[in-house]
Amino acid sequence: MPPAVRFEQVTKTFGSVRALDGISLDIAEGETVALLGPNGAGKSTAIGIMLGLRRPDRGTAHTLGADPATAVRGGRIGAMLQTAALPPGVTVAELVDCVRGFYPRPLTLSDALSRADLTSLAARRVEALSGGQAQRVRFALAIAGDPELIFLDEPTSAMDVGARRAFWEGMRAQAAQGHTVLFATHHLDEADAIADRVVVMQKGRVIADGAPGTVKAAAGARTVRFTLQEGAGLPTLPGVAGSAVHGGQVILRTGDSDALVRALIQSGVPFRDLEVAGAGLEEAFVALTEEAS
Amino acid sequence: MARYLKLEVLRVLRNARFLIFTIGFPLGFYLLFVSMYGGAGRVGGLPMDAYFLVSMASFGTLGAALNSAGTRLAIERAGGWTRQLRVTPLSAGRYVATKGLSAMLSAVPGLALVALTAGLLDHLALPFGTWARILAVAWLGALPFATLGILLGYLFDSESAQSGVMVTYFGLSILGGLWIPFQMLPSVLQDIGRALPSYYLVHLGWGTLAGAPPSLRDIGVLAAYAAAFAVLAMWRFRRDEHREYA
Repeated sequence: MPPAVRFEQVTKTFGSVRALDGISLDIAEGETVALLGPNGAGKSTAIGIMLGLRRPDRGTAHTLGADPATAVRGGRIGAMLQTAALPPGVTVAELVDCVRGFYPRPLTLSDALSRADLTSLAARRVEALSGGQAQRVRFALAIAGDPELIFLDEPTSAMDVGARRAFWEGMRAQAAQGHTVLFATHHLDEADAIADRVVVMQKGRVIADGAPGTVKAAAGARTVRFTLQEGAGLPTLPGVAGSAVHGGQVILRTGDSDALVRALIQSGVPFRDLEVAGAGLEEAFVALTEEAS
Repeated sequence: MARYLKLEVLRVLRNARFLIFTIGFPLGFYLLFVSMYGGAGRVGGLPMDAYFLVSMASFGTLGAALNSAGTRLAIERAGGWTRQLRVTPLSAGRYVATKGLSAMLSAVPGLALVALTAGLLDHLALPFGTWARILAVAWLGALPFATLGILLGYLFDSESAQSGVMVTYFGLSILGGLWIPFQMLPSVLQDIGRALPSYYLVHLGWGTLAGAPPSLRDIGVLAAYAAAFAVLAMWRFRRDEHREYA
C-alpha cells in the first residue's frame, strides 16, 4: 500500500523566501499526524502541495500514490483550509449537501452534519454563523465526501477552548475509522493529545519527527535545576541539550535526567536544592525551534 | 452538479441588490419610457411599447447574466472559496459551466416580469409566436454576458469588481442602444456601439419583432463574443489556479 503522503526532497521558494527546503516525509495510511511549527515554518505550503494547489520547484510529492491533483479529482481527499470565506446566501445544510454531491461516495447529509455538530444549525444561513460555527462548517465540508485522507490547516484557530475540545472529539471519531488525518497547528497541547505522530517544522525543514513522547525526549524534555556552591565550577555532564546559568543557579535541559543526576553526584561538585521536572511538548517545541534558528 | 447549480441559483435569487438591479431597473425603465414617450408612437419603424419591450427585456437579461457571476466571483476568489472548491473533485470546466448556466437561469425571472408587465399592465398585444421569439432571443442572446460576467470576476479584484461590473453594465446598455433609441445616439457613440455585443443582442430582438428572418450576422457576432469571453475566462481561471500565494 503506498503511503498516504510521500514527499521526496521537496523544495518551494516564494521570491527570496525558501518556504520548503528539501523536505522528505512519508505519512502512512491511518496515521494521525500533527504538523507543528511557528508561523512561516512552511506548514501551509506543505499542505498546499499535498493538495495539488501548488507545485514543488524541485522534488516530488505524491498523495495516496498519485499526483496530488489526481487524488483530489478522484474524491479521495478532504481539506479544511485556513481561510475559505463561506459563500453567503445559503444555509448550512444546502452548502454541505452541495459539496458532498461532488464526491463519488459521500456521507449522508445528516451524518456529515452530526459529525461536525451542526445538526441544530442546519437551517441557518452561513452569513449568520459565529467564527467557531463557520469552522465547524468547514470541517463538515472536509469530511462530507468521506475521503480517505483529511487535511486540516489550523482548524481550531477561531474556536474557544470548549469548542476546540468538542471539535477534536469529532476528529478522533474520524481518525478511529481508519482515515488518515494530517493537521497543522501551533496549539501544542492539541498535537500532544490528538496525534500519534508529531512533525516539527522550522524554516522549511523538518527538525523533529516522531511520537509526541519521542519528540519531547529529543528536545531534552526534562529540566534539572540546582544551585552550585559559591566558587564551584560546573563540571562537564552527559546528555545536556541546553543550559542556563544565573549566578549560582543552574538549569539544564536533558532527555535523560537519571544519567545526568548520577554523573552530577559522582563529579563531587558541591550543590544543593536539586530539582528534576518533566516538560510538556510546549517546552520541547520552544527548545527545538530555538536550536534550529 | 445539479445541486451545485441549484445552490448558485438560490444564492443569486436571495440577493436583494441583484434583484433590484436586474428586475427592478428594466421593469421601472420600461414603464418610465413607455409613459414618457407616450406609448403610441413609433421608433425605428416599430411600435413604441414593443420596441421598448425588446430593449428592456435585453437590458434585463444582460444585467442578470453579467451581475450573476461578476462581483460575487471576485469576492469568492479573494475570500478563498474558489480555493476550497479546488480541493474537491469539481473540475474547472464544470465550475465555469455551472457559473454560466446559473447566470442564464437567473435572467429568467426578470425577463418574465418585464414580459408580464408589458402584456398585462400595458396591454401590449403581439402574436404568440412573436412573443415567444423575442423572449427566446433576449434570453439566449444574453450568453456572451454570462461568460463576460465570469471573465470580469477574474479580471477585477474584490475591491474594484463592483464598480467595474457596473461601468460595464451601464456602458454596454447605453452604447448598445438599450436605453436611448440607438438612432438618437451621437454618431461617434453609434460607432462604438456597433462594436459591442449589446448592440447585436437588441438589434437581433428588434429584427425579430419586425418579423425579419434571424440575422446571421447578429447571431454570429454574439456567438463569437460568447466564445471569446469563455476562452479568456478559462485562461484566467487556469492562471489563477497556478498563481502562487504566500
